[in-house]
Amino acid sequence: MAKRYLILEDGSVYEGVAFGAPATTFGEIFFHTAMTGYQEIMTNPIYHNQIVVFTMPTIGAAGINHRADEAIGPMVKGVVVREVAEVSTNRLQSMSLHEFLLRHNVPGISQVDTRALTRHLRETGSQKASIVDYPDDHAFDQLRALVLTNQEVQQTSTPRAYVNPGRGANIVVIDFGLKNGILRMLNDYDANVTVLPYTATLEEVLNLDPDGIVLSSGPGNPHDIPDEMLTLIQTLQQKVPLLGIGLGHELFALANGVQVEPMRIEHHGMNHPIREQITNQIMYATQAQGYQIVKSTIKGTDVFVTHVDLTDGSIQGLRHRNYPAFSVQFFPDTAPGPVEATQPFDDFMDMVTVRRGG
Amino acid sequence: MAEKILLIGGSANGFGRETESDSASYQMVSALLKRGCEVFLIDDNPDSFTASRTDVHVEVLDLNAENLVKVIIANGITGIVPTVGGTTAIRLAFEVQQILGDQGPKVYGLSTPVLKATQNTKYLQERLQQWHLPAVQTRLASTPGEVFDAARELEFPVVVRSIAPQGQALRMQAEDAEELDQIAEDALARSLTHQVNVDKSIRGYKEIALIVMRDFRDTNVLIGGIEDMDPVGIHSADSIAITPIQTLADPVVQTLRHTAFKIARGFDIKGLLQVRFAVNPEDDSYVVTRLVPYYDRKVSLIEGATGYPMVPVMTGLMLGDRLEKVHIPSSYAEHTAMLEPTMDHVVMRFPVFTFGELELGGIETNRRLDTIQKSVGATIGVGRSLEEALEKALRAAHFSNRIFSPDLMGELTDSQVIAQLIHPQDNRILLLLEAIRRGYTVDELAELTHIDAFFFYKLQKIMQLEIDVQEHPWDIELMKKAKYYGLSDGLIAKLWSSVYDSVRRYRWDNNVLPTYKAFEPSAGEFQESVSQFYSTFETENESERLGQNTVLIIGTGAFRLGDGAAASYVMAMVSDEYKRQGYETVLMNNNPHDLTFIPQLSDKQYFEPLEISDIMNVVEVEQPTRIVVPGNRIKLINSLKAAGLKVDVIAREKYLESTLTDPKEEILINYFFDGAELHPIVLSHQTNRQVNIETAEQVVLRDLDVPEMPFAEPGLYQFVVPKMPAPGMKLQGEMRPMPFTHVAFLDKISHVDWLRILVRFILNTSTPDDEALLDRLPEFDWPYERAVLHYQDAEFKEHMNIQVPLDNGQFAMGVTYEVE
Repeated sequence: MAKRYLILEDGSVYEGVAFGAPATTFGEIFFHTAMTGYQEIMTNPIYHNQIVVFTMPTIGAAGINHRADEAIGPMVKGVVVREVAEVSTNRLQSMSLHEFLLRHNVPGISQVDTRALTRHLRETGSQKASIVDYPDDHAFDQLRALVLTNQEVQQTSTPRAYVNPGRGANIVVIDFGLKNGILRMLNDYDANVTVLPYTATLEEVLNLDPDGIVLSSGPGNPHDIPDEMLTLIQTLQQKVPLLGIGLGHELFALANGVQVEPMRIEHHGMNHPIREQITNQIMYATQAQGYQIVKSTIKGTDVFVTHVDLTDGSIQGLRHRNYPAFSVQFFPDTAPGPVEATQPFDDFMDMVTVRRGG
Repeated sequence: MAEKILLIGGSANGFGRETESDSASYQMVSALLKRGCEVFLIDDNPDSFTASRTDVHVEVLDLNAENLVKVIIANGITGIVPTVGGTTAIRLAFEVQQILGDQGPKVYGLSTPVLKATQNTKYLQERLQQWHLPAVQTRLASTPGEVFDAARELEFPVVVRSIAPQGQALRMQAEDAEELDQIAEDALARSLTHQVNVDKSIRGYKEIALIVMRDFRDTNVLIGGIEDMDPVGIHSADSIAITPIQTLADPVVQTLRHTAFKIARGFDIKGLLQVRFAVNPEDDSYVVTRLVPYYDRKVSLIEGATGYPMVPVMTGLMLGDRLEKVHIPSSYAEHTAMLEPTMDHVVMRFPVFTFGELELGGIETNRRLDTIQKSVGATIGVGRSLEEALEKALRAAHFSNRIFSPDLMGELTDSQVIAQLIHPQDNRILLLLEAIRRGYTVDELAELTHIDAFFFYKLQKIMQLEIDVQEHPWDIELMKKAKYYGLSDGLIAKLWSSVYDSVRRYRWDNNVLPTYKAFEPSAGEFQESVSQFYSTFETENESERLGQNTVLIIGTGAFRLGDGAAASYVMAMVSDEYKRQGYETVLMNNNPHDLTFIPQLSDKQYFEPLEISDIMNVVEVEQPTRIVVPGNRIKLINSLKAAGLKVDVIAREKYLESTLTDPKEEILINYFFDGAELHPIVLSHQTNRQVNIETAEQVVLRDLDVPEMPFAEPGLYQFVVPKMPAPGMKLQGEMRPMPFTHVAFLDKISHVDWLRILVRFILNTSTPDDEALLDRLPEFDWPYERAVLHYQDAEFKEHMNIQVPLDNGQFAMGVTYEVE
C-alpha cells in the first residue's frame, strides 16, 4: 500500500496510506464526528469540493449501498480516516468504500492520526488541504495557489427543472445543492414535487401554483447567491408556506434582514443538543454548518429564534412573525441522523394542509 | 426535611455482577450526600466498597424483602434506589412495593411499570405490542405438555425461561423435542410459580445494546451502543463485545435509537435505561429482547468507553433534575451531560473463563458456551483500530503469547473445528483464527458462525501481520506496523525468538514510542479536562506527566476466581489511602468494572493491559515515586525493582492449593505485620463453606508464641495451624498472606480500615493511633460477638453445571457475611 500525505495550508503534514483513487486532490478540510452515516455524508452536496475527516476510527464496515446515496456519487474531494474496512459483506452493500471512491476518482487516505488532526483543526478552523504523493514545496505551492470557488451552488444545483411526482400537495423545491433526503421526506407525504434550479424566477415558481416552498440545503457561502433570490424569498414567504434548510435557512435569514457570518469552529456531527425554544424540548439532529446567524441582528426584524444549539448558543432555527415561513440550520431529513429531527417537515406539511384547506 | 435514601446492595457477587454496581453506588452516595440526602445502605457483601464509607449508614442484613421493610420503617426511609444493586435489588424493590404499596417509600430511578416489565416478560411484550414495537414471540406454559405445545407452535429451536426463578434467571435453549424433554421439567421446577416462558429462538441475530438517559421532561439522550461479535445463541456476557457499533448502517442504528427512546418514554424512565435488541442480518428487522433499567456491566462499559458522567447524571435525573440542569463534576465541560457521546476509539470487551483453572483443580467441565453465562470476568482493550483493541483485550485477558503459534490448535481434526465453529467454546477467538489458518474463506466462516464478515477480515489481517513479523526478524517497518495494530513487545519478542527487553530497547532506539489519547465524549471537538487515557502508536501524545510526587497503582485486572471483588476492594482502598497521604495517584487497570476506576478515587487513570511492557511505558510517562503492585505479580515486581524503581507490594495469597472440600477445619491466626513485628489481630476458623470468628475465643491471642515470619513486606498475613493453639505452645504451621476475601471481611467486622493502616506503615506515616491500636490488639474491643463469612458457590455449580463439591476458598464466586 502506497504512502500518501495530507498537507494543510498552514504547513502541517500528516502521513497515511492511500485508498480509493490514486489522484491528487485539493479542497477545504473539515472533520465530522458522526459514528454512522459515512456514505450519506460523503454524498451530501453540501460537502461538494471538500475533504472530510471522520473522527470515527473505523469507517466502511457497513459497505456502500445505493439507498444511502444523497446524490449520484461522492461529493467530497477526499476522505481522511484512521482505518478503512477493506471489504464488507453487509447484505445491502454493492461495493466497498475503497471501490466506491476508486470508481468516482476520489482519493482517500487512511492510517492518519485523525484525533491529532481534529484537535488541530479545532484550533485553526477549516482551511485548504491536499492529498498528495509527496509533501514537497511544490505541493504546498500548489495548495496555497488554490482559489476556492464561489460557484458551489452553481455546480451542484440542477441545471433544469424536474418533477418528482406524487398525489399530494404541490411543493416547489429550490435546489441550492439538494440532497436526496429532502425528497425522500417529501415522498413520505406523497407530495408532488417540482425541483427548480437556484436561478428560478418568481414567475417560474408561481406558475407552478405551489402549496409550499422548500429552500434546500447546499454548499458554500450564502452571500454568493445573487440578491434576486432574496427578493424572491421576500415575496414568496408572503404567499405560500416556506421551509428553509441549511443554506436555505441562511438565505431565509438574509431575506429578512438578519446577518449571516462564517463560524470559526464549524458543526459537523449529530450529537449536539438542540433546544426548541417554545417547548423547551431537547433533540438531536445532523448538523453541517459553516455559517451562522448573527444573533445581534435579529432584533427589529420580523423573525424570531425557534431553535438553539446548547453547546455554543448558535441559532438553529428561525420563524417569521407574520407568515407561515420558517427555517432550520440542522438537517431534518435523517439521512443520516436522528429520527426526532423530522419535526420541521411535519410542521411544514401542516401549514401546507391548512393553506390547501383554506 | 432531608430525604432519607436507602440504596439496596447486591449481596454476594456472582455471574453477571462484578463490582460495577458497587462502583456505581459509591459514586451515587457522593452525589446524594452533596444534595443533602441522608444515605442508608443494606448489604451483606463484605467486599462492598460503598459499605466502607463512614458517611453512610450500613445495615448488614440478609437481603430479603422482610429486612428491607424493617429498615425502611425503623429509619423513616423516604426513597429507595434499586438501580445500583444488580438484579437482586430490582427484585427486592418489586417485592417491597408489593408489600408496602402506596404507603412505601418512593422508588427512585424506576417506574412501577418498568419494574414489572423486568419481572414479567409477558407484560413487557404486551406493552411493546401496544406501542407497535417488535418483541420476541413467547408462550406461557405451566405443564410439560404446554411447554411442548408452545414449542410446536413457535417451531424449534426455542428458549425456555423459568418465571420468578429461584436463584439466577437462566435461559435454556432446546434444539429439538429430545432436548426440550430434558429441560422442561427442570425449568418448571425452578420457577416459584411453576411456570415458564417458551420463546421463539432468534439465534443468529446480531445482539445490540443501547444505553439511553431520559429526564422527566422527556429529553432523551443516547449514551452509547454495544455490538456483540457473536450472534444470539450464547450468553451476551460470553461474547466479545465492541463499542461503538461497527457493522450496522445509520438507518438501522437510528431506528433502534428511536425505539429505545419510545420505550423509555412509554415506561416514564427518569434516568438510565438499557434496551437490548436482536437484529436480523438478513433484512435489518429487529426485536426488543430485554430491558435493563439498572446499572450493569454494559452500562459500566459504556461509561468507561465514552467518559460520560453516567452516575452523576442518572442520580440527578432520578431525583427530578432536568438534563439541561443536572449537576456534574466540574472537570467536565458544561454541556457534557447533554452531548450525545461520540467516540474516536474502539473499545473491546473480552470475556474471561475459568474452565482451565477448574480442570487443573481436577473438576470436569464442558467448555461449550450456551445461553447460560459461563464467563466470570472480562477485560477491555482500547485502541484506534479494531485490531489494536482486540490485541490489547487479548493480552489483558492473559492469554499466552503463544496463542498465534500455528501448532497450538493444530491438533483438532477438521470435523472438530467445524463442530466448534457451530457450537462455540471458551477459546472462540483461537478457533476462529485456526479456521482462517486452515483456509476457510470469510464467507464460509460468516455462514457457519453468523458472525459478521467484517470481523473475519480483521482476524485475517491480524494473522497475516503476525506471520509477516515472524518471518522478518528485526524488520523495523514491520515492527512499526505491529505496534500500530496493538502487538505487545512480549508477543513480538516471542515471534522473533527474543526477549521483551531487547525488543523494547530496539523499539526505543528506533523511536517507536506509545502515544496516549484521552477518553472524552466529543471525539476531539471540544476541549475537556480529562483524566483517563489509553495508549496507541500514533503521532500526538496527550498525556503529560501528572506531577513530581505520584504513585502508580497497578490494578488486579479481570475477575477470575474467588477473590475478584475482594481484590478490587483492596486495591481501591489502598489507592484511596495513598491519595489521602498526599500523593497524586495514577491508576492502571484493564477491568472496566473495577472499583479502582471510580473517577474521584485517583487523579489519573490508564485503561491498559497490565503486561510488564505496558506498565513500563506508563512508568516512562509518569515517572512515579512509587509503584504499588499486588503481591502475586512476582515477575513484574522483580522487573520493576531491577529497573531501580520503588515498589510497594500488597501481599496477596495466590490461589491456595488446599483441599478444603472435605469437612476438615483450618485454624487461622491473622496478623498485621508492620515490617518488623507481627501483631495478632484475630483467630478464625475456616471450613469449605465459611469462616467463623468468635470474640470470646480471642483471649487465646494474649499469650501466643510468635511464629517465624518468612515475609519481609509489611502486610496482612495469616498463620495456618491444624488445631487450636494453647498458651505457651510452640506454633507449628504455615504463614501466608491473608486472602483478600478475608481482608475485606476483617475490615467490615472490626470497623478498622486495615489497608489504610498498612499503607501508612509502608509510607512510614503511621499515626500514634495506629501504633496504639496495634499495641492494644489483644484487648481489641470487637463490635460483634460472632461473625461468619459465607462462601457462595451455588451459582458456580449452576452456571458451569458442576456436580462435584467445590473447594470454596478457590471457587466461590462471591461471599456474604453476618454478624451478631
